[in-house]
Amino acid sequence: MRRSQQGLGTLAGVLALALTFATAQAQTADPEAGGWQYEPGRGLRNEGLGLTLGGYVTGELQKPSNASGQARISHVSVFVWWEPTDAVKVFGELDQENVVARVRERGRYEDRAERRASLERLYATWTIDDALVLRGGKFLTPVGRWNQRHADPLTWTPSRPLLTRTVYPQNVTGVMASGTVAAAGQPLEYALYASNGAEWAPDPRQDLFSTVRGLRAVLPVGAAWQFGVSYARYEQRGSREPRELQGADLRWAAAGWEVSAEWLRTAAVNPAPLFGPGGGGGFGFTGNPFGGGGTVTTAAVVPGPTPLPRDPGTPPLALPTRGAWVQAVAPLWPQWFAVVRVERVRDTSSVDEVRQDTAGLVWRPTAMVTLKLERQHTRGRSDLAADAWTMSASVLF
Amino acid sequence: MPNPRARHRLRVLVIAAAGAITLAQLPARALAATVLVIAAPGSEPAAITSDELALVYRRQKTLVDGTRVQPVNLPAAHPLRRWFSQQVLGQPPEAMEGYWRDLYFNGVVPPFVLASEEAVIRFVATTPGAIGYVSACPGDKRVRVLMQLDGGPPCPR
Repeated sequence: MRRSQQGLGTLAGVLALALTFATAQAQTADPEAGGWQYEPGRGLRNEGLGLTLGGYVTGELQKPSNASGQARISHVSVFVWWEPTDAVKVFGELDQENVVARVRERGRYEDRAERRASLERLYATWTIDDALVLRGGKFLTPVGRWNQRHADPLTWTPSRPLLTRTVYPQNVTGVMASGTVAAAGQPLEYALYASNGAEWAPDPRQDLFSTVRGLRAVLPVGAAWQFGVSYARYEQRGSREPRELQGADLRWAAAGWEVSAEWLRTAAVNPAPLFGPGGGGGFGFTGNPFGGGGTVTTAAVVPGPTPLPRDPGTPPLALPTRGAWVQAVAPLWPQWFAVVRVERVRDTSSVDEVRQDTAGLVWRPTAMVTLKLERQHTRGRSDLAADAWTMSASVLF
Repeated sequence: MPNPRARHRLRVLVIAAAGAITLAQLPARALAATVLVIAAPGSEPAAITSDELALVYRRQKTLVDGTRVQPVNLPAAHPLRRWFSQQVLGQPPEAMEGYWRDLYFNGVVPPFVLASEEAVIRFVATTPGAIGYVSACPGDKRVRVLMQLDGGPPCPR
């Protein structure tokens, strides 16, 4: 009983924090004042030192249809950046997963926290000019829109699309050249990156890159449209198989409405019979199927790809992994939004499609507070995601 | 024969509608009279285009004409900020919130917000590379007009 109260109490704490921020008036940092200044959703800054400290916290309540309910503080993420000069920046993000996680068993909430601190990002950038910024360190893999903006306060749903968390590693440790150049009168953003696979603070739940060379380009058209393409040639540690990734994404947003979509395909460069130890290169993530990359209790932690047994009669050819998702957001009334997402993915290891449909409701009382309710329905691979109700509260601080 | 009461009502409605349209246009017209982009003399870029100005205010461009620039804004509810945001960035300030959340997650914060046009002039005058916008010709030489957004009469030199 006491634990049950603790489980609910932690979530109530996050909600209370969210509501405190929701009702707080955003204050503006005065650039002329010295010392430390805090602005909600913009961080704690010291202009003199060039230092900024920020982050976010997320609490979740989840009820999968085939498992016990959970209450957890899924992420306490802190990011800090230091700009000693106009041209140099050092950025780091440390994420503490599942500070508190309780699973409801026989009417009581049991402590099932599998706490894990992960180094999400740590890199230095050198801005030569707007067209060329050099970066070295660990950063989020620049594939599609979602992975580089995956934090809960930034997204419309508590869950991530499968494509963004199962097909490629979410981090790269390596080097990057990026910038903004003019293309047809529009600011084209590009990123070229490479890694030899020496990952800093590797996440054992992911089949990491052993080598990767990739690029991403994003072209905004007017204020409403944005088009992106991604390409990478890579090998993962588990499969050691050269693969190519091709992706395209778009976003349209106007007057509170938003439509975004992403298409992705990966395939072996030299298709060969797949099966044998470590073969496949398909879905490699085996963590928590519900969350944004975290893990609590629902699946074993197994590094490397784990392709499912193939259907009898499947020809021994390397099928590409491909899929797409489309998400629409509609304003209902001020600060309230409805979200719908449909996703279809086909894995190398299975001829069956995974279908995932998501519908949700979002309340954004201020720019830094987000409360979400989501219903997710999955068909095809219950190990990747299950039907569930999820409610989350997140605060960007 | 039309009902005189109905005619009166119609007349009142037409006058009210015309009044509402006129009032709705007033702020835009008043603001459109003079909107000036200003910088400090000596540390300002030689010239800036409207496309560059939009990139500067989106924090996608930090160098203009070889000069490192630092944009400043007025509060989101200020009529001049709203006009500027709509004209230069193509969206009102509240529509940019998602954009700024994304950038903050990647270590970029929006332009500083200053409380008044006088505060903007004072900050721009004393900060190398600072860029701001005001709705009246500055009465002193502390700042230089980089650009006039509305096509109104030029400021006296």
